[in-house]
Amino acid sequence: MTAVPLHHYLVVGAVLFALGAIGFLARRNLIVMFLSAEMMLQGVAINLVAFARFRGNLQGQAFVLFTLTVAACEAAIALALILMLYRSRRSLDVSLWQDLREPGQEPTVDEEPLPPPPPEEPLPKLPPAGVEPPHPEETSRV
Amino acid sequence: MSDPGPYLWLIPALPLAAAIVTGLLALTDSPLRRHAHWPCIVAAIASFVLSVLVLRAVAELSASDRSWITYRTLAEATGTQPPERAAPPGFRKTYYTWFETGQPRLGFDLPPDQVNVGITFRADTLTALMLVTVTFVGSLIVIYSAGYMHGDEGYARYFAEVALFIFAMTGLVLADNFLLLYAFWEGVGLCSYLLIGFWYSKPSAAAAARKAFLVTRLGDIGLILGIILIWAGFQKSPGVPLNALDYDTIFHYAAAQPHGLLVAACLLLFCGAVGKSAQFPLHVWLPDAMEGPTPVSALIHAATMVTAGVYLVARCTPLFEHAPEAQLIVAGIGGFTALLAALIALTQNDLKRVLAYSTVSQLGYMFLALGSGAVVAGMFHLFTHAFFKALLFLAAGSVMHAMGNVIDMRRFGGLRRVLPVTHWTFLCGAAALAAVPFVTSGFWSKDEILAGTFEASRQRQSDGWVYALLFIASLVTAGLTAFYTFRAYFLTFWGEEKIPHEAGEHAHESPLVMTGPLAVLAVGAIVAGFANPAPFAHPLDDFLEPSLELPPPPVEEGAALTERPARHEEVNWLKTGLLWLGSIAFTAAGIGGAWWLYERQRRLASQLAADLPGLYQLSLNKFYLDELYAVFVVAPMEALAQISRVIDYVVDGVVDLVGRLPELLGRLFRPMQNGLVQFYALAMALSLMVFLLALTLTRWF
Amino acid sequence: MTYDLERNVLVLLLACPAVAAVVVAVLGPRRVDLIRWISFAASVLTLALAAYLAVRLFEVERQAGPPPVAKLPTFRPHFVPGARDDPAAGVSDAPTTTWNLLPVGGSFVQFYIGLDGLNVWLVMLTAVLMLPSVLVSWHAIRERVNEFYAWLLLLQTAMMGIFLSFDIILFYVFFEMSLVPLFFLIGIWGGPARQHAAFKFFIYTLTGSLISLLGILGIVLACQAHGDELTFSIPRLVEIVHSKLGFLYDPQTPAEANVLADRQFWGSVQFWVFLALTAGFAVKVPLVPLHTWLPLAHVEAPTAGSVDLAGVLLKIGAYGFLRLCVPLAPDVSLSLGLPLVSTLAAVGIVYGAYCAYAQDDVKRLIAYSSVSHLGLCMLGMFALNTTGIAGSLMQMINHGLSTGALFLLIGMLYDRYHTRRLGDFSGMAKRLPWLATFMVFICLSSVGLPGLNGFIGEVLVLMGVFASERVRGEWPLYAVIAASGLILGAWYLFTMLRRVFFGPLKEPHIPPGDEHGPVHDLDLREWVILTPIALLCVAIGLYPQPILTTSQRDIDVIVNIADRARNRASVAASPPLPEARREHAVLPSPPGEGEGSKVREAIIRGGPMP
Repeated sequence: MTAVPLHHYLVVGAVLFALGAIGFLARRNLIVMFLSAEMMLQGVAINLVAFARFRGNLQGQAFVLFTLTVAACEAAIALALILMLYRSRRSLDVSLWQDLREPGQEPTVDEEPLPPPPPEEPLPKLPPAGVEPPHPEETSRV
Repeated sequence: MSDPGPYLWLIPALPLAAAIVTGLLALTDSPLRRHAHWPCIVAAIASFVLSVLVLRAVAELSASDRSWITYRTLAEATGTQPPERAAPPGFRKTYYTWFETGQPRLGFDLPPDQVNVGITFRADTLTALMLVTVTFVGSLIVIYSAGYMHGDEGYARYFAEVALFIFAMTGLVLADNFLLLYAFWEGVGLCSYLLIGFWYSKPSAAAAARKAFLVTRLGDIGLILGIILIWAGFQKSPGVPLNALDYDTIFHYAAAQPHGLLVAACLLLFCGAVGKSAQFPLHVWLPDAMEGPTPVSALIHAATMVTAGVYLVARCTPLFEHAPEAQLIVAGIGGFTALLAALIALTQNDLKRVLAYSTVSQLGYMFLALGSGAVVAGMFHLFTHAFFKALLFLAAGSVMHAMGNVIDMRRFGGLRRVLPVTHWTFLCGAAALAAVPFVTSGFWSKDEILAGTFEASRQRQSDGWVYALLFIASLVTAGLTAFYTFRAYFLTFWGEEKIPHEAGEHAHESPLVMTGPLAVLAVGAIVAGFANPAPFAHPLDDFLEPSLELPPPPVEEGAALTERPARHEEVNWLKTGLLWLGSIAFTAAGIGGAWWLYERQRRLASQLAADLPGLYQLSLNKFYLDELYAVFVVAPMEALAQISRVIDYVVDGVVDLVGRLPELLGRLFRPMQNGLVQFYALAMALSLMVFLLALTLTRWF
Repeated sequence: MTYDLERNVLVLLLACPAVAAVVVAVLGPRRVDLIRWISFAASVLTLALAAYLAVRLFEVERQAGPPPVAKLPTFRPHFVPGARDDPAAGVSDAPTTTWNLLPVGGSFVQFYIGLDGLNVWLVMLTAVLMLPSVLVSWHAIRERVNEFYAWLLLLQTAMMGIFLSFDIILFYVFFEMSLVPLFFLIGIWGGPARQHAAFKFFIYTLTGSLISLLGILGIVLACQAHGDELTFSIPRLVEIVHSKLGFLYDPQTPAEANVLADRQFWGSVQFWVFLALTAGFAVKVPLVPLHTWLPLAHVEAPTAGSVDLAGVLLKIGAYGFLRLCVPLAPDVSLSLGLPLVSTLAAVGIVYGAYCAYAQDDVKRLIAYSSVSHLGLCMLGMFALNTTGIAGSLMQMINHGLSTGALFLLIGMLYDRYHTRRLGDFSGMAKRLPWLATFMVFICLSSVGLPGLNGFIGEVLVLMGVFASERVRGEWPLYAVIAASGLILGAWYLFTMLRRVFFGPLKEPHIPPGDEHGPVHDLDLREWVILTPIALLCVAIGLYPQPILTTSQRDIDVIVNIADRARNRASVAASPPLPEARREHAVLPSPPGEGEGSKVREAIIRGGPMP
């Protein structure tokens, strides 16, 4: 069997990592940024697995297992957070949160503002609580 | 010979007890407060009786104890110092140790800074003389006060404070070591403060009280430094006990001390005397002190407390006689003050102020005597002055009492028929103050001072001319004294009868409780001079010399030393006569001038004042000394206080600035926090790269 | 003698306020009266315990004959709880304890507390001042009463702990612990600018004491490195330092060469330790220019806080100098500390007085007077002789009483009129005669009127400073400055008296709706507060000997330490010694008379060695 040399793995890992980093820095959508970060993580994971394979022990693999587990938890929390953020601003644009900056600083203005988001479909509204809705007359089906 | 040790402590303790009882009484609302004078009167009289007993005891002792005289006279005769010095005759008793530190308990490596101050009283002739003077005048004034202060709101408080004063003053003269003396010294200062400020709601009284306390305390700083200098300085010479502060030990080793140390110590001690006895330049508090009740002026600011400085310098004669420079300064300040105060007194319109300045002037005389080496003359003048000055003040108080508290001499006059007893007693006092020859006490004592100064000017080699100047100044002062005293007398009691409206319809002579003490003091003012009518007899010289450690007259060859040697020096009648002639001439001129200007030709006086406006204003405004103090002392002090306050703001500002530094540092980095997540991430990535790059580069190179 | 009872009482002394604090805190803010009475009872009990111990210590010290000439100077606390009863078993001269708190590197931080001449009267002062603190807050504090009293009692515990500790870490813990209660006392119950004041006080003193911690660790580590023993016991540390520094006249001194080799190391250790400790203690004293937190904290603090702050907390700084700085860094205390601290203290005396004069707020005025008075205290301490240190101790106690009482009186005035501005008052003696009487009395005590307490301290300090300067052959400049402090003190206090209490009556406007009603003179509670203090002032003024006697032996220890340092300095200044002198010099000297006292005289008088 022809062994794939180590540097191939490393290149793949590096590419993944770089893509992820670029994605994280360049994109403003929270979910995409999160996915980019995950991608960087996978790049590192590939590195670990590859090194472990070529060192001949399983420590790297074990470590990656842990990383993945943690990443999964992280994803759950991150997505929950993103959902909350979306709810309060009705947008996933991360730059909308720049007002968390140090007080007294000038806001950064977008040179190319995003197109306004499409109007939202109103969610179905429940009637106000406490008032019983009118019921249709109950008829016997028998 | 009876030892007064067992009851010595009672002399100050009785007034103290009276002060406490009366003070507690003042606390209550009980009707007993109207009788608050009784404890004080009883205590003062009891103290007087005990003082007389002490006087008798020390007189007996002094007459019987030959050892000391033997020592001094033998030393004089043979010209050698005997190895051991006998203490001068007197009684001494330590009641308890006040405080002591520095027992050499760890053995070998403690510095010699032990202090051991005992509550120790001593009774020798000097003390006894002072005690009798203080308690006698004190008793009379307390009795007088019962009439004078009648109906005052703070009646009980007044007697508590006066009793406290008698306690402190008797303690002062009884104290056997310097620190105890200082303690009582401050104590009399406190009483003076409290009594000057007795009517505290009067702003002038409150200000005068503060001024008196602060100015005298300025002198006291010198006193305490002098005491400490003696304590620390004397330790250096071998043989001196490390904790020596008592008079006998200090005086014993005085001769062995370096000259500079003695002069410095004497001058520092004299600072205290200058403050307390109101000598130039610290005399400014005394005239203001007249804001207090008049009996207080009589007791504290004329007869007793202000003489504490004289007492101190007299007590330290064994130190001063080794420091002629210090003596010269004492005499100089005394003579100058005497003249200055007399000049100011010439034009004052307030009767009590005239008397106050005359007190300053007479105290100057006493210091002149002390500085000239005529210590007994100084003490003699203190003794006679206590009588006639107390008398004058009490008489002035009687005038005030009748005039509805008006004291400006321009507003009353011709009172000799309204106040006959006051008039005659005042005349006695004025005659004594003016030194009317041969019949008044003031003549004898003042003449001794003049003689002493004259003597000093002849005996001192290098600085004799200073004493000669001082002698002339004192002669002139004698004339001025006579003038201003009788000016006050004529203005008050002669001329047209003039009564201010404050007195109401019933200007009348004071009650017996006030005139009685006046009469007694008037007798004293006349006869007190016969305690030492030199050159006819010298009982006071013989009495005081052992305590002052002055050499008694030399013994004749082969005389047995079983009796005090009699004075056998030839009286130089020519010299004495000339001196008398001079002083009598000045006195007569003064009295005659006063009579001419203020009785015969009243208009002439105001004419004279208008003709010499500069001099008149200078004297009337006390040579602008208060103003000079305000500009050169008080204002800079207050300015310094304000400057310190500003500096404190600056210091505080610097501290706050240091507190702000981290914040300023943080402000530098604040733009980094722009709220853009991507910017943070980019910064992180780039910094990581830089870091890694640096790491690898350092690895390679 | 085992002193079992005294040992238990000593523990109780710390436990009583601490327990009371917890109880009070737990009671909740509603049961106001119960809380007040419990606090009162606790402070009375503490005072009784402290008084018992003071009396016992006085008896012990009075009966103790002259001790054998010490091998090494160190503190010998009495009544140490958990002490081994056979001191011979230990290596040290000082008693040791078995009550370990925290194991550290083979040794223990111990609960090592005890009583000696230096701290007994400060403990007593703490206990005495607690009573008025509790009473004066009786009606003045209406909100969160339980917390207030809990913090107050905790403050007392901490202050007691500082004075009692003989373990350096325990000392530090209590030292820091005292900050917290006062921070809350000022920050919650203070005046309008209380938060700023509380923060400034806290940060300022914390900064100082953290630097002190470095010094404390430094000396412990230095003793471990060069003394081969890790210990936190202050007496033991002092012993180790002195065994290393050596002493020319000490028979126990190791060979001269070893000492010289160590000298450089110990010189630099002392230097840094002194600087670090001084940083903390100088802020606390406070020495000019580190004093600016004090007026602010005083003005904003509630009366009880001011009383404890001025009365006790400031003494902690001075006490720290005495207990740690001088014994652990004697050479530097002499060569650097003496000129430095003396200068700062002298400046403080004059500067504090001038600042006090210029103040409008009476409380501020008294705060600055504290700066002035503590300057006098520090000046006396750094005379480093018996008289000076005794005077300094007296001055600490007297300042605690007088200034504490001044703050109480101002607090009473403030309770009535809700203002403290000088200009608002005039002639108050007419309206409040007894308050005015007490005020005059306490002012007299504060300006050092003989017969009252202030005089003893001031005159001893003056004498000590004068003697010290004379021994050094200098002009008595500092003594003159200290003496000028006396007149300046009279100047600002009597001016204040004249403006507030004398002159025509002018009352400040009382805000409408004040439930106090018409202003009345002192009530029973206030009499109970003031009378004991006034009586103590008189008692100490007339008979201070018990205090001086009790402290004598421990003052001697400090003076011994300073003399050794003087001796080393003189040896270092003139090496090498002629052979003949050295022989004389190293002779063991019997106490008292003989060779030793001649040598002693020679050292002090600066003459030739015998």
